[in-house]
Amino acid sequence: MAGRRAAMVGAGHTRFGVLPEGPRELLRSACDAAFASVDRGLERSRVDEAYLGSLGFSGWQLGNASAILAEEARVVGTPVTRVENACASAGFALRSGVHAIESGAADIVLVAGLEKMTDVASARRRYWLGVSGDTEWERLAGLTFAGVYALIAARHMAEHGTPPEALAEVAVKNHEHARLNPNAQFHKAITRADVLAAPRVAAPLGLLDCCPVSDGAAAVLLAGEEIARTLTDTPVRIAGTGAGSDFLALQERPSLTSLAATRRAAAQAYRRAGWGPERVSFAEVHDCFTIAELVALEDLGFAAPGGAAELTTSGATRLGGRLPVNPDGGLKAKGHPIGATGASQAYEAFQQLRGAAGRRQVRGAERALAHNVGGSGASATVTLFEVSGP
Amino acid sequence: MTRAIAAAALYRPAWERDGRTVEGPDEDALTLAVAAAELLPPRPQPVDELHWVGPAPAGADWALPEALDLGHLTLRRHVGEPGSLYRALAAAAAASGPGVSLVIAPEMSGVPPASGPHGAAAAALLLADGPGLRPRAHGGRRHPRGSLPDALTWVRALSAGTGLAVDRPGRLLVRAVRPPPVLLAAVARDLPGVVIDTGPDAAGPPAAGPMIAEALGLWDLLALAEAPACVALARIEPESSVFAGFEATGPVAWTGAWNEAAPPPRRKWSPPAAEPDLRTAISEGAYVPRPRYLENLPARWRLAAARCGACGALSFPPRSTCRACGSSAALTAERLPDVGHVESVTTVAPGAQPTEFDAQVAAAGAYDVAMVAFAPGARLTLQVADLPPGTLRIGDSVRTSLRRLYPMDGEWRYGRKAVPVPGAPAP
Repeated sequence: MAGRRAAMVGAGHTRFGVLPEGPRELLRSACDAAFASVDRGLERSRVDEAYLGSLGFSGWQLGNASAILAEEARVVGTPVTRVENACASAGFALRSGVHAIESGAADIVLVAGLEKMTDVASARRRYWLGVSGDTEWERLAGLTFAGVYALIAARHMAEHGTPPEALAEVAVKNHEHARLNPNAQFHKAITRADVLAAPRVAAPLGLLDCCPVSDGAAAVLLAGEEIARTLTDTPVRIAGTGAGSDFLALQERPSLTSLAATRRAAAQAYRRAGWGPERVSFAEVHDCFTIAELVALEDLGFAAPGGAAELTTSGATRLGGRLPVNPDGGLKAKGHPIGATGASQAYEAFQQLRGAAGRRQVRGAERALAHNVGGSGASATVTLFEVSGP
Repeated sequence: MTRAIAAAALYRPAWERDGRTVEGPDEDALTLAVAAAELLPPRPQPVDELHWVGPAPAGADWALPEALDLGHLTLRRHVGEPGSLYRALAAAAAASGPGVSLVIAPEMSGVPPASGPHGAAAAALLLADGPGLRPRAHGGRRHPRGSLPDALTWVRALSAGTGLAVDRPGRLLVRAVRPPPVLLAAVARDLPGVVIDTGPDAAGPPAAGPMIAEALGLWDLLALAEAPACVALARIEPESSVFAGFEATGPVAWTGAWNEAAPPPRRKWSPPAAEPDLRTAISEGAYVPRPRYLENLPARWRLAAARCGACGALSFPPRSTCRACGSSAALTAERLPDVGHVESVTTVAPGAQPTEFDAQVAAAGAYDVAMVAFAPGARLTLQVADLPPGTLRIGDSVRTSLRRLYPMDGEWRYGRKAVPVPGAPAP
């Protein structure tokens, strides 16, 4: 498909975890790092548009949070839009940024994602962790997201015979990967036995099947590809973006074991890029719970329905395997500051495709996929990245 | 009088404390009443009278008719004891017209708190024109404090008041709690053939409170009324005596827990030291404005789905358009089947529940949530009630029961939960 392409020219990332920094400082750090990473420098005044992905966790600044990004990125005056699609907020913010550039409306775009989750009192935190599910039919039936994904997991196990060990392997692998990522929340190796023996949260999911509550921010800078080449010799091209939506409540979706929003987003992104899953060097998938990574591998075309367990237990999705998945540790072990995750995935693509991922570098990485899901699948984005050729 | 009791049902909760049946952590008088009414067989004619016996919680006046899809009826309440059930039956029997009357008597385990152990239960009776158990007379009084009831006088009054031949063997049942020997002697002398029953209900801890005891007494009548005849009942307790006379003119359909030979195992829970303060219990919860709650009641309380006149698909919960084809014309309400099957299920551990369920978890522990399919296009995410967590399996059949869900804006909000199908093998 012809037309203008967007490319990443810079990316920044804070540590993820239980952090002393507040939301302003996190945003400032991520944005400063993104600007500093542009090889030949970028004046902040050149930013035409900015997008902030954030759920607004805790309600500290629920309305007009875009102004916080303008202030902390020091781009006050530039139009900033906050995008809220639950855990896919930054995935959709990134997509908006790409569209702004592809349409010609903007030349330089800042996309940031932020969540500050750990400074909230316990009961209030549990309230916020459930606000993105269907309030009347899921939450008030007694489910938080762990419960919704547990229903998906139990059904996946019943339909496909998915063994608990395959779910456990997702957690083990992502913890292993996170040990190589200095920004990750966890640097502790775990075993399958640890995962299987952990206390259940919502059976069949246990504590080690769940991503943590995290603070963090990430930011990327996008430019029209022709401009990108003036800013760096190694821009990372956005080969395609796709997105989809679905019914808010799991009960209204035809399938309990597949996310239609992911399938639609993937089809759109692959079509736009002109290449498919077989050419992906590594994937960043939305593993808020271990079952989510298995479902994602199937919905993204890496495995047939029911085939993700085998793919995972074979070791193919480990670093060094045929298709490394979540080399940065994923939501599971890197951490999941809700609104930051989509931007964090783009950051990882930026580092990996420029060969700058250090000890977790995927050898010969040329094409990457990032998959960001809102809630239990009411919204999803898929973004494809590739090394920008001449 | 034109109507007679044609069907009756007794609901008993699946929970116990100190050896007696108690309402579950998500049950109250309203949910007990709905549960009993839903045990009744299909009604032959439209219900045109709805009676509530005993104390009613706030909101019952509109909530019970709404839950039973009888929102056009005014709830008639009968408070006071003893004998309020019989007064309600007499009023319901006196109705005329082509419809039927419903009389519902729910009773919480703590009512009345001062008169010894009681259990929770609810009775529902359907009165229709035709054969059945026809109320003839009733009465009752509270004994003066400290005095021995003049029981024999009451037994005679029963005979006189009903015109029923109480001297015929087996036609009068006297239920007595701790009967004074003088009563037993007098009845034996003056009314030979009268049955004095000091059976399990009368002798041991009552299975239920006063209203339910009256309803249980009705069940005893059935044993006396196998052939069409006049029957009567007296109930004598240390504090009060009530009597009622009935004419049995045909069979009564009895359902529910009237005489469980082997009652299912009961679960235990501990109530909180104090009921949650409804004004403050919402501070950490999701917010559902009252109008949004009310507009969803047909779906949430009565499982009303929408059938599309254009494509025939079923949509649940119903919204303004068909989920399948998008048509907004010719959507008609259709109640989902009573029984669905479990497509998936999880056990939510304490600590993983939404804050709205903190009090319930503190009282009763973990709970299951199931995805239940009732028809193509109609699934519900339902919390599971009454079953021990972790026992429901994919493929099991469940039905639903109205329960308390969460407190908000100063009131309890209600919705349906999944419960085991009666008679189904224990999971």
